[in-house]
Amino acid sequence: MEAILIRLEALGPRVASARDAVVPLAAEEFDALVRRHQRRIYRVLLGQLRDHDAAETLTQECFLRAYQHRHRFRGESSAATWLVRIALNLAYDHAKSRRASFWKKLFASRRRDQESEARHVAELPDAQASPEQQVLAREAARAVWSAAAELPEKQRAVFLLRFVEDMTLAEIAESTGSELGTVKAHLHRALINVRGKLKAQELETSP
Amino acid sequence: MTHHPSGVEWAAGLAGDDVPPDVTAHLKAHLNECPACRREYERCTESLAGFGAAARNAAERPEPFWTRQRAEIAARIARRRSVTLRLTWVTSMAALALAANLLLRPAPQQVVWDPDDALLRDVETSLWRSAPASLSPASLLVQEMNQAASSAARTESEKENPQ
Repeated sequence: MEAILIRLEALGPRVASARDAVVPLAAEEFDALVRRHQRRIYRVLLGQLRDHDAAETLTQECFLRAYQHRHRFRGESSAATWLVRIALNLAYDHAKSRRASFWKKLFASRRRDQESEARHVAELPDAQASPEQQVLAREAARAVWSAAAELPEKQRAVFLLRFVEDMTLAEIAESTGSELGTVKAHLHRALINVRGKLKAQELETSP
Repeated sequence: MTHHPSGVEWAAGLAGDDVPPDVTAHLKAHLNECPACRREYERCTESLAGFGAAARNAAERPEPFWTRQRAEIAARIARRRSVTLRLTWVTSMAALALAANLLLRPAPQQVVWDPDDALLRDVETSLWRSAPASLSPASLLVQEMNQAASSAARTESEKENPQ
């Protein structure tokens, strides 16, 4: 019990430590910037699109756009939130164009979702847990993943930035270009959905 | 026993950032005394943490993937920069050529009116003309009268000798 409460209190500082330093964007420093943030941008895009190829292509596109508009970066936010914002806009545009293609959505996306979900679940860490615990943890992660996949894209973005990227709500607000209250509302709705899924899954697995 | 937390309180607690102190206090107090909620809270936080770790793992790629990606980004930036440079170069060259053309073009020569030259030209024109310049309208009239007379004569001779 004590451990849970400590975790509840410790969540704030833990995510706050993920805040990146402000990065100047001179042309010659750009490669270092890519090196520092490419994994995060790829992760954000993969979480949003659940498509490795699209995530790879859009990661490149994200950095190209950042380079093209580097003079607009004023250093008011961190480079990470600025890049995440570009990546999310690219993901929204991509999803819009993907939605336009009915057949692609019907066949390819469903297949990709299943593959991607299986991949996420298969790569769960914690090898020290017992086989039973691993199965339960895998099932729980699967339930969270499928709940996240069904969320509207803005709720999903907020949810993923919070729990995959460990960003603070203020950083998420900067990245998504939303008000703090809107971010909280999105996250709360997402968590209510996820909790419902977990409850349903628990009922299914309980004897 | 405190009442069970509402959905919003649960969500605020699980969000774990910027949680109002009264919600944290109530959640803490309730979790201390309600094993079912404690179990559920523990399960939710563990699942969320497990999900985050799994999602981060799923996005991991071998180092060559990231190296190749950086190289591609650098190459695309270089290509774009060279196109931009070329465009700038072509535009500035065109502007330079236009400016040079405008600046170096010889100024149009001003025609200086020379009375002697004009007199000589008038003389030459008069020499080549069949009638003097002063009689030009009259000579045209004569020319037209001659043409009319010759056509009348031709008509008459055709009437007299109709083949």
